[in-house]
Amino acid sequence: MATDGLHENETLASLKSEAESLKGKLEEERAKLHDVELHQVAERVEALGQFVMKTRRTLKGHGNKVLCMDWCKDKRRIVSSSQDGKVIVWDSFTTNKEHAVTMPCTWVMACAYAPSGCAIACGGLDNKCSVYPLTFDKNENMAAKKKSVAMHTNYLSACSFTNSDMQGCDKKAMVWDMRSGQCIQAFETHESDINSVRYYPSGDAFASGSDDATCRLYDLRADREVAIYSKESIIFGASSVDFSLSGRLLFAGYNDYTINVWDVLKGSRVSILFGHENRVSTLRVSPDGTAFCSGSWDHTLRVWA
Amino acid sequence: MLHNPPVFLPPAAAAFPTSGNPSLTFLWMSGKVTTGSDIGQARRAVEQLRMEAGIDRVKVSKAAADLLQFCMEQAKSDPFLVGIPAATNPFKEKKPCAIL
Repeated sequence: MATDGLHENETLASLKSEAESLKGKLEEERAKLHDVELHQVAERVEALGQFVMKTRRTLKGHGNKVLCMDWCKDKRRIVSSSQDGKVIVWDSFTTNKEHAVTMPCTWVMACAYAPSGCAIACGGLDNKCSVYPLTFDKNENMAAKKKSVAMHTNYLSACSFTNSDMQGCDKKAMVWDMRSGQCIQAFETHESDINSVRYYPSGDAFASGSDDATCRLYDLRADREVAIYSKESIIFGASSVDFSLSGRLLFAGYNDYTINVWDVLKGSRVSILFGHENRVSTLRVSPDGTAFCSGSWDHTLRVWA
Repeated sequence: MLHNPPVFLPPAAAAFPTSGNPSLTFLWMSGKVTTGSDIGQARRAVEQLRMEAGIDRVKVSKAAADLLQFCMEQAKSDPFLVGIPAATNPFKEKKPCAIL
């Protein structure tokens, strides 16, 4: 790479020390506005009652770990992808499999349902995002109609995971402006890799789940972490998080096979759900908020309501 | 569509907001930048930090109050909070009915 010319008075050391002092200033500015904790503001809010949530459907069919899932806008269909290289579209009401596609590579890290409901996108170790139009015509070979799209020119309503290089993860969550390509905010309070992020329904905050066994809430306008969801008894990493429709509940799937339900405002755990027989790897609330689906390394998906 | 779309390193995960400012921001977890001379990298880091330090912020009390308000307003339409009768929730078992 061509070396950038040095400006007067600018040395690597001076730039580094300026960076350090700017980091200090950033923390100072954030601390100035830290006048209260979220759970204190939430004290006047009524506590949540008891929740009865059970597995209502179990989707069996994958031959290996389920890595990712997504709901269709019709609130009924689910697409899931697995280490067995298959992407399956399920009818979650009946548990029937409607489509199955075999991907050319095995680690299908991500899949998403197109907003139209007519296609699914998935990608994995092949570093590509492929879009498959969904067809009910038995004579049509779904795989033959596949289209590969490059990641940064494809607009998906959900996630696109294209690289499994988890060593690239660090403990930072960064917020980017897609039009300028600029990072506008960065948060580094987790003590270990972050596995999942999800926006709060209003768009003003986001939650993260991390290998440090905590989930955290960051407010974008206050530019800081405003809540930590943790318990001494929870020592395994959180792999996936999602909010209920109002944002009051945070569902988090963990590597100890459980799902914890948190009161976002008060910071307390509302419920713990058992059922999976291996790590929970993916979790999404349905579009109408009536249920959520979790996928696990135990090869199954469960719909909870 | 951008002519020179920003090139993002593959993320570990990403998310799109469904309200607020849609299509403007998304989240990234893998923060590594791989190439660039040391000086160039350091200069970019300083510029980035300058920009981050200078953004407008609101007090946590105000931000928290807004989060609360949104929550309370939406609570009535959150099926997990309000509860749906088993008869209308497609996932819950319906009570058996007998034909009289």
